[in-house]
Amino acid sequence: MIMLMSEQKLIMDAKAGNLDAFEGLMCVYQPMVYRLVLSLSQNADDAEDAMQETMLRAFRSIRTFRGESSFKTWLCRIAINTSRNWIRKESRASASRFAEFVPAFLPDTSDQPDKVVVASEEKKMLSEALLSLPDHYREVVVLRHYQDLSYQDISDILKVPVGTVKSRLAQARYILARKLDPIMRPDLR
Amino acid sequence: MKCRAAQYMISLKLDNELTPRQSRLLEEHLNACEECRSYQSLIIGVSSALKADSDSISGNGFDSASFQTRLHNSLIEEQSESCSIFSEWIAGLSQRIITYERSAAINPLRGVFAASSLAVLAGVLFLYLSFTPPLVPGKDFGNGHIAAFTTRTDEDGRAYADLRVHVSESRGFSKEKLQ
Repeated sequence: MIMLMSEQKLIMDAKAGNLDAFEGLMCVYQPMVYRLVLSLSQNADDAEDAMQETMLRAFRSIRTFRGESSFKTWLCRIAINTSRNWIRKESRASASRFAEFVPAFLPDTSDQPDKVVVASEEKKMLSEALLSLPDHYREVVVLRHYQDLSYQDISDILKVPVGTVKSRLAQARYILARKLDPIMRPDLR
Repeated sequence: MKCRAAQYMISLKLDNELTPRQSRLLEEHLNACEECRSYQSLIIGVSSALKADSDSISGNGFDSASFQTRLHNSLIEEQSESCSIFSEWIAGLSQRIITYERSAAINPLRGVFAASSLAVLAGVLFLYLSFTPPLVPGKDFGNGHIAAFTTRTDEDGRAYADLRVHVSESRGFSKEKLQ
């Protein structure tokens, strides 16, 4: 409750033009925004730029925040719109963007270099599969799997009915499954 | 149940969003359909991969302090830019007024138009002030007058106005209504 009240105070002060209050708010939400834009863009450099752009946009429009949704929902919406424009504008799905990827979702294979190569390849395929999804599918996947949000929260952020969230998620998973089928079935390797 | 519907339900099952009835129908379908069983395993694998990828995002390699500094500088820049945009707008408006005044000096019709516009504005302002009396002691509002008007601020910074009103009861004013 104390946390909520202090957030309310920060929001009120930020709306009144207090820069310190706005920066305080951004400090609280920075990890969440970074995680969101990184999972949407799948690139650390883009994520930092998109996060900064998100926060600048939030700063420009904080006066229009009426508290009809939570501040987190409002900020998530800005981050998603920013990332959407960013990915579209940059459109840099070049081979070099995946060069820095580190194996993430496979067991530790540090003593087996050949498996590290495979893991890195799998990470790359997962990122490519995510990036190849249309925006509205990628967003529900990221909000569900990377932000761990409920259908209702996703519906509030994207301003679509819960039924649409369910069908988009099912369709996105179907596409991902088809794309990742070869690496998900060890017998086919 | 068709396989397409089963695939949709598998997605819901992954998020524990199936009703008991849907769950039973899906189980029945899965028992009979090898392809959907295989699809379910695949979807669980994809979900685990996404979960593991999500867990790997920890912000390692992200220099938070440096980002904060960069953001702070950008915000300062943004703030001064919006100030300068406002100043430019004011300067532009002043320039337009000066230009208009000069052209009014050349063209008398423009001068007449400007003068009548000002007169209308002054009239509107006068009417507004007449119908919205300021809250000052002694101000009569027909059925009484304001005896005292003070403002104060509490320790949380909330502002209050204390108003003491003398109402003439002979004109049918209800004190209870005011209270």
